[in-house]
Amino acid sequence: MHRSLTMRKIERMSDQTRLPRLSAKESLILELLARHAELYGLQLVAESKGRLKRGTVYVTLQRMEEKGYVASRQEDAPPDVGGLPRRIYQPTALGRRVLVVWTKAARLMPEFAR
Amino acid sequence: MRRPGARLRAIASRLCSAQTLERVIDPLIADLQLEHADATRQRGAWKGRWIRLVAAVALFKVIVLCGGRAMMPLRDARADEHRALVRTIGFSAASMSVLATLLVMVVWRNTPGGTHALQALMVAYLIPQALPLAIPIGLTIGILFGFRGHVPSASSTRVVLTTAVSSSMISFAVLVWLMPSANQAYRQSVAESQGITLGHLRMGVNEMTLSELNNQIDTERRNSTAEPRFVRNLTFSYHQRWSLASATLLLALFALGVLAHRPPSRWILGMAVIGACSAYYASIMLGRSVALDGVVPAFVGAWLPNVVIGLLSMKLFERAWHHRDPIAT
Repeated sequence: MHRSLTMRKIERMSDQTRLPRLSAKESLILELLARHAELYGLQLVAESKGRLKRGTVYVTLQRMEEKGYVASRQEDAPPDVGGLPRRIYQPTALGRRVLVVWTKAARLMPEFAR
Repeated sequence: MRRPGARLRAIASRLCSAQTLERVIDPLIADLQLEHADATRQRGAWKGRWIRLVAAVALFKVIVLCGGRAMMPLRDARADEHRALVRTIGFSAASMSVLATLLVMVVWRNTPGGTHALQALMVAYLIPQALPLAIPIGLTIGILFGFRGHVPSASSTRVVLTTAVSSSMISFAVLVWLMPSANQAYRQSVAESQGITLGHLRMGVNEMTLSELNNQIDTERRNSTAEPRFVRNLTFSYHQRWSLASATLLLALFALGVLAHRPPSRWILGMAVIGACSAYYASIMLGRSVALDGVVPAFVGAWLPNVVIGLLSMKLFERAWHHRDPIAT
């Protein structure tokens, strides 16, 4: 039983042909989200002190959501303002793990992480 | 008064997919609306206007980015498109060769024997009469199987249509100049192979050039004793040269219309080819029959196949247009 579970784990590992990668913007977003737990897109732009742009942050967040690094949920529109409901983002467990691994790799081999 | 970002969202909804709208555009606009409300409340209307302008620039960047991401698979698809065009040329050339060979064999089978050199010469003389049918049908087969269920891009469509126009012009040159001379030379060779020595064989309808046909038609019309069926035959042949030349372009359009529906399997492609060729050939026969019998004017009978294929193509494009996907990233 133990042997067959091990074999199954090995088979599953061999299916993962590509290691997850993080771009500079993605790692910055994950760092900010890990620090603050959850943020709106505009708050990410503000917290990044200009390193994230208003237009591109949402595209990056969508891409990260597709990869499973972040999750999002819609909040109800503020009653006094109305309008569209806002979307708030938080890191997933996978996103946190990838950030940890990538940060360590960047420290050990900075040329690899660039 | 419209909420800030409403007009931007309306523009984006025409250009982006539902997913992009939900995950990228709406969060951007939702944040904009809150920011605009805060800015207007605390800093005044001009700050609110500045926020709107910044958001419009950001939205423009997003649309370009999303369009760029959509173009990335298209960049890889350019290699696919190139391969599809190469396949189209290959299939077209192969189909044209096979069809021309078959059409030559059909006539050559009934050719009386002679020396090997004379036989080879007769085969060569028969090739031009096969080309006006082999070229359009071969190109149609090439386009359908070359693209194999992919919808050609705009640039590939331009290449296909340019090829079709060029092929039509080659077909026209063959019909007008090469085929009449080759047919006449073939008849002379057959007579020679039978040991019949004639000064100069009288030209039949298929041995006349366009101007000779035109002159003959005028002569016969002025001749009160001319047989009406003969005059109709001459007129039909004259117009058929033009219609056969333009068939290449029309059949190419038909093929593009079939591809616009993304046929799922080669069987359906094959059926489309057989259907198109059968319809075209049947229309030629029908058109000739009704024209020679005087049921319709000769030029109507000659152009009937092109009208049939043209209407089929229009119907295919119309249906594809109605079922097209909205613009999406």
